[in-house]
Formats: sequence, C-alpha cells, structure tokens
Amino acid sequence: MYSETIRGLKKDQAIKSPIEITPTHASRLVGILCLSLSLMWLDSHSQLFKSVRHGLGYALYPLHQIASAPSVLADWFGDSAKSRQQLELDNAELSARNLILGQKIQRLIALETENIELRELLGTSDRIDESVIVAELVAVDPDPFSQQIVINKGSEDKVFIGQPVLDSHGLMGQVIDVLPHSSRILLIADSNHAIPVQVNRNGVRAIAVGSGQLGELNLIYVPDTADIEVGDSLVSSGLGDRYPRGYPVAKVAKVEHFPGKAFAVVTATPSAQLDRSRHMLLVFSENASHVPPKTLWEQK
Amino acid sequence: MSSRVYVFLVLTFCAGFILQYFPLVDFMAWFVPEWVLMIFIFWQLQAPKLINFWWVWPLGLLLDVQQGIQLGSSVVGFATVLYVLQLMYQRLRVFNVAQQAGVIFLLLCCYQLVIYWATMATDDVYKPLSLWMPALVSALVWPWLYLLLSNTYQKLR
Repeated sequence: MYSETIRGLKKDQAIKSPIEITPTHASRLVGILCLSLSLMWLDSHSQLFKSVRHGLGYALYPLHQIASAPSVLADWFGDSAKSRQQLELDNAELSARNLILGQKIQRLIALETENIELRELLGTSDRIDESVIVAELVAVDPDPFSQQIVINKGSEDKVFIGQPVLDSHGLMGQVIDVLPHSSRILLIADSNHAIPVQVNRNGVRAIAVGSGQLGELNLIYVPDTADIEVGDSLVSSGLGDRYPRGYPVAKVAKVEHFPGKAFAVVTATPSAQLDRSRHMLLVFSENASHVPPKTLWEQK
Repeated sequence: MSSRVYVFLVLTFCAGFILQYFPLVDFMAWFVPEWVLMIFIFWQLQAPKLINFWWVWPLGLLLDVQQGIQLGSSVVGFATVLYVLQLMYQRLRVFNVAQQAGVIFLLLCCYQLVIYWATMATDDVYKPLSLWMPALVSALVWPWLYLLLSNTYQKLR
C-alpha cells in the first residue's frame, strides 16, 4: 500500500528532488569506503603514499601561512615595539651569558681533544661532530591526546623522518612526518613515544615512555633494586639508534617502591621545555638512522 | 550559476582549512569545531548539484595531511556524512537552524565515530575516544556559520 503511494507520487512528479537516492548511491558509498579503508591500511603499513602526502603539503602551505599570519604579525609587532631600555637590558644579559658560555667552550675544546686522544688510545672510533639547523615552532597539534608540534623546516631543508629535535635544555622529540616546508614532531611526552635513557650518575639504563602529559615521563621495567634516586638526570643512551648519545632527557621526580612488585615506579620531568620552546634544533649526525633506512632499496 | 558562486565555494573551503589549522590556546584544543566538514554540509544543503561525491577525495586527503593522520581517514568520514545527507537533506533544509544544529551534532558524532572505527581497524595506534566535544562545539557554531554563508550565497546568486 505504502509503496503504491510512493509510486503514485513519483508518477505525478509530486516529489521532485535534484538528488534521488538510488542503489548507485549506496554502492558508491561502499566503493569509496573500501577504497579509502585500503588507502588507510596501506598508508600505515607502507611508505607508498609518502609522495602524495608530500604533494598535498605544497597545496596546504599558503593556507598555513595565512593561518599563522596573525601570530607572526603579533610577534613582529611585539619585537619592534620593545623599548630601548628593554633592548639594552636584553643586550647586557645576552653578552654576559655569551661570556660565560665562551669560557665554558674553551674548557670544552680542551676536553674534547683529550677525549679523542683517549678514545684513540682505547682504539674506539671517535664521536663525529653533529651539525644542527634552527627551526621555529609554527603550530601545536589540536588533538589533546597526542603531543605533537609542527615546525617550519621541511624536506627542502633536508629534514628527514626520525631526525632528533632538541631545544636549549634537552631532547624534545623526533620528526615523524615531513612536508616540503614544515614537519611534524612527536614529543617525548607523547604516550606513543619511548626513548632509551641512562642515569648520568652511574649509567643505569632504562626506557622513558611518554605519559601523554607534557610534564611527565615514566621509566618502565626498572628493577626494584636499581640505583635511581630523585634528582638524577637522565641522558639519552643512544641505544635505540635514533637519538644521539648524551643529551639530557629528563630529571627523576619520583621513585616509588612497592613491596611485592618486581619493578619500581619511576616518574621523571622532561628537561626540555616542551610547552614553551619556540626555537628548536634539528640534529644532523653522520650515523643518524633514516626512516626508512637510506640503504633500504640498495640491498634489494 | 555564475562563476562568482564557484569562487565563493573555493574561498569558503580555503577559509575552512585556515580555521581548522588556526593556532589556539592549549585548553581550547578540545573545542576545535570541524570547520571543513560543516562547510561541506552547508554546500550539500544549499547547492547539492554544485559539489558531487568526487569532492570527498581532495577535501578528505587535504584534511588528513593537515592533521597528520592516516591518508583516507577523513575520506571515510566525509563519504558517510555525504550519504546520510543525501538521504535527508530535503528534510534538513526545511528545519530551522536550531533543529539543524541538533542534526549536525548527531552527524558529527557519527563522523568522528566512523573515523575512530576506521583508524582502529587499520592501524594499531591507541587513541581515546574524544567524540562529542568537537561535535558539540560545531553544533553551537553551526547556526551562525549557516546564516553567514547562506546570506552571502543568496546575494551572489
């Protein structure tokens, strides 16, 4: 009865719609869903679509420039409207700090040569000096569950996936996605991130996993008897082949022992100012691991 | 249909992408409305013939690249929303904006849920479900966005 009415209506053209839902619509939906689901699967399991992502990055670049224009303008205005007195103060402070750093570097040069000599005596290869470029923060990921930021250097500046990122206080994270003029960085505090560390005082090794909150890392699988104390500074151990050795990562904030449990619960505070740094350094080291490895295709 | 309308169409999507990317204070990260999707819905209501289902691909892929998620996840969401809209856009057109906002809320919840499912099915990244916050904010923004866009559109046409 109902379908009769509908048919009648159709005959009379009482309902005249520009789009009529036909079986094609449903099959088209299924088609698109299948295609995009397989695209998603391929994208997360292979490197095939990196170039597509890269190309679309070019299209988005001007829009991102517009979106960040207000903050750039505000910064510029703030800089140029600084008072003379403020500038003089800044200048004095900076030159004082420069003096102190210069003095420290003098000692460092001597130490470095001494270190190389000692390593030569031991017969181990010396550490190669790492070069860096400075990048600026352009955006923070709006997703509250992931700790990611976007910086203004991309593949045109030779940034690569897996590259370590530092600020002046310590390790910040690594590059996970590269576009032509920007790249995305996974911070060490993200819950999907882990970094091998060691205690600077005695070399005890551990793995620091992000907690999802900016100010907190968790050390996992720390034996209850391990010599870790509150205030210990943790440096990168370089064992993961991702981060260079010896950069400060975090300071131990809390050590809890639970009798009857095999592992102690250790929390640490990141040394880098994950939520405040605007400028960061991208490290280029000789033996940095590229993702995918540079030699991936040569082997085959 | 004049060329001005097409220019307006492209401009609205550009504005959508800019707004989606706009840097916000930390705590506001929970409340970013789905601008591009809302603009897509608006065009589907106002001029369904102007944008067809092929638009789902470029819009979805650009959004994925912008947000750094798997390519294709937004496409899944857009396609689903498009299908539901095609089923009921005539009813939606005669609703008043408040009623529309209610429907938008449900649609966006559906959008987020579908994307969440698709991500879970194809990747093993763990993400808690932050479903209803952006949907709610988008629903609150909808009446203003709709009035602004439809007024401009009527003038241009």
